[in-house]
Parts: sequence; C-alpha cells; structure tokens
Amino acid sequence: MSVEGRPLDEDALVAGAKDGDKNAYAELVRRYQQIAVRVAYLVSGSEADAEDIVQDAFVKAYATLGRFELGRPWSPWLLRIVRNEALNRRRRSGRQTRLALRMAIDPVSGDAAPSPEAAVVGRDEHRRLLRAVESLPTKQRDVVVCRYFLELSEEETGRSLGIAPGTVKSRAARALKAIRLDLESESGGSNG
Amino acid sequence: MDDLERGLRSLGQELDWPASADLTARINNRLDQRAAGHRRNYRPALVLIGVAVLVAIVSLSPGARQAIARLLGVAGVKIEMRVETTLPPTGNLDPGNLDPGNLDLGVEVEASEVGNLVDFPVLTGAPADLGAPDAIYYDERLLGGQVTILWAPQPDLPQTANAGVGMLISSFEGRLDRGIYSKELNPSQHRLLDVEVRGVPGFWIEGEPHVFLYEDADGVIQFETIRLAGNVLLWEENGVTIRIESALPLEEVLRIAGSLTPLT
Repeated sequence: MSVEGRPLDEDALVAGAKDGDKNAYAELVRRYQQIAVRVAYLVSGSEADAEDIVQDAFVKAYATLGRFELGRPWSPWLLRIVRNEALNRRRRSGRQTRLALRMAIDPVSGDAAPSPEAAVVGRDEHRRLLRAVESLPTKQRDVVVCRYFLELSEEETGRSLGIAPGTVKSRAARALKAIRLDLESESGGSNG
Repeated sequence: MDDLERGLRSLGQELDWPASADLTARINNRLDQRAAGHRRNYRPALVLIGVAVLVAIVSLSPGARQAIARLLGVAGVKIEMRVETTLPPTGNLDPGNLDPGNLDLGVEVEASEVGNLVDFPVLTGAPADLGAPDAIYYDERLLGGQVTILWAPQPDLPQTANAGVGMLISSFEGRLDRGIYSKELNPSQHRLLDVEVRGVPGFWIEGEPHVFLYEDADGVIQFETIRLAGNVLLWEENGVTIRIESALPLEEVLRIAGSLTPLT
C-alpha cells in the first residue's frame, strides 16, 4: 500500500498519542512499522538490525511527540528518526556494505493471479530492470528504492535519505534517465 | 507516471524484503518501561530558551539590531547578541578527556564516505597548510547533515581551549527557509567583524565559548553548547554555510579559508 495514500485520521492518532493514548500510538506503529523496517534495512544494510532499529526509532519518536507539529504528515518525522538510528547502528558496526536488492523467489503477494501492476512488466523484464537499478550510483539507487520500491513520497524519501525534496526529484530524474539508457543499450545490443 | 515508473513499482512488489514481525507489542512494552519522568526534561529547556531569546532581543542596542540584520544575509544563519546567558555553560568537557566525541561533533566517518552522506561540496584544508585532517565527523541532526573536519594542534596551529583540538571546519547546507542556525553572543565578551572571505561577505567572531541554537527541518528549536572556545570565521558559499573555529588570529584564518579545496 502506498504510504502516500495515508488515511485521513492520522492527525487524530498523532494527537491522541501526544496526549498519552497508547492505543493511538500502537495504531501508528502498526501502520508504519513495515515501511520503517525496510528503510532501516536500506540505510543500515543489515536485516538483523532492522527490527531493533525500528523499535528504538518508535520509542524515540514517541518521546519526542511533544515537539511534533500537528497537521503535518507524521511519517517523514518518523522516517528521519529511523534513518538516524540506522546510520548510528551502521557506524557502530563499521559496516560499509551496500544493500544488495534481490527478487523474492515467489512474488511477495502470494496471490495466485499477478496483480495488474505486476502484469505490466514480466518477471524477466523485472530482472533486467533490477540489474539496471543496481548499476546506478548509490545515491540515485537509494532514491529509486524509496520512491518506487517503497512508494514513499518525495518528503518521506528526503527524510529517509537525509536530502532535500528538490534533490530527491533531481536524483530520481537522473536515475530514470540512466535506467532508460541502460535498458535501451541492452535491448539494442541483443537485437543486433 | 510512465511505463518505467510503473515497472519499478511493480518490481518493488517482487523484492525480497526482510520479513518483519509485528513490533507493536514489543514497542508498547518498552514504552511502558520508560521512566515517567524521562520525557519531562526537554520541555522546560525549550521554555527556558524561549525566555532567554526574548530577553536578549528586548535588550538589544540599535547597533546590535543592525548587526543582526546584516548577519541574516548569510543563508541559514542567524546570530543574536545577548546580554546574559541563562543557558548551560560550555558543555561538560572534561579537560582530562581527549575524546573529541565530547565535543558533540556527530559520528566519525571516513573521507571517502562524505560524498555519500551529504549533497554539497565539503571544503578542507590544503595539504601544504595543515596536512590531512585528524578526524572527520558527520552530524545528521541538521537537515542535509553537517560535516566537521578536525585538526589536532600542530606547531603552527595552537591548541584551542579544548585539549586535542587545533581547528574545526564545519559545513552544512544553509537555507533561508529552514535550518536556521543561531549563536548567542555576549556583547561584552565578543567582538564581531564584517570580513570578506573567498570573495563573499563573512563574519568573524572572537570571544568566549557560547551556546548555539538552530531550528531543525521540523521547525523545532534545538540547542547545543558550542564545542570550541575560540575564534569563529563564518561565511556562506553557494548555499553552504562554512565556519572555521580555532585559536588562530583573523588574518591567519582568512588565509586558510582562501586555501580551502573540496574534500575528495
């Protein structure tokens, strides 16, 4: 589900959590934990650490709710904290590796029929696309992961990666152009 | 959204992300375990700052007000003269502890990492002047990050009031609409000069250690005790605010500033 399509009552949940309503905060956790774990995974490069990072981030986010301005989307605030926690964890571990993206053996959805979106591009084409994404410079690759794979908004992407929304836009544009060139050269090469 | 973007979204659904458990119960438990008073510490601090800044602005002389107006010309930077400091003094630096981590510079990173961490060019000292830096720190608390380069004292670089520290060069992306950074100066203890740095207007501040405030990207005023007692040269170059902190005189710092080259 796209994070951009956030439910309208998020403000009420955040307001409730600010007032100490644990149930309201639990609902925010339920909504954002998966995306938070993926961002933690992307930034830290560690599957083993991702859940711990996210737990720490949600605890910190709760502690700082008093400073959050109601009426603004909450997820960028959360994702910024997730990113900081993930970076700290990565530095402490001395890890330098870049996360390797891989396709699941079976589609994640587990549905018998492919989703309409999945039908747009076949699995082989997905592999080619993933190769093209993986060959991008890390900065562009991370923007593609956030914007398209995690379906984050520009603001959420910016907070997750520590860059301004304008930079998200420009890196995404450069990345798409590079992917197109990559795919065109590949298909041009195989066709003759 | 075009076909490529749709294809990427579709591919995203086939990626092998870590399976994540429902963390709600674990997080709830941790929240329950937190000490009830843990959160209360922050709010009084913010209120205290609000009062302090108000007092400072009311107390300003016309000259100081003009100085502030000039200083606002540096993107992302706001300097406020103040009469008295009610904020905590210069941190908890232990003179016997040489760990620069006490300076709260962020996490130590490698020079090769910097390009991936920030989206702006970071300037560093020319090797002929200073040699390679002794450490590089990245502080992610500012939107876009801040990089601070540290040199230990050398024969031509006197130690500052902080043991083991000769000079710091910090860079962050200064923006007019966010990331406001502010220093509080006591007019009786500081000297403020307009200077030209690398062909652009800059500011030179001499004096005692001070506290600085900044507004983060969420509009929240953050404060930290300044890390270095010394002189500060501050300017903005292509949207990046750069400051050099050291115990060197102005002329020498201007010469170093003029020799800075991008960190590679």
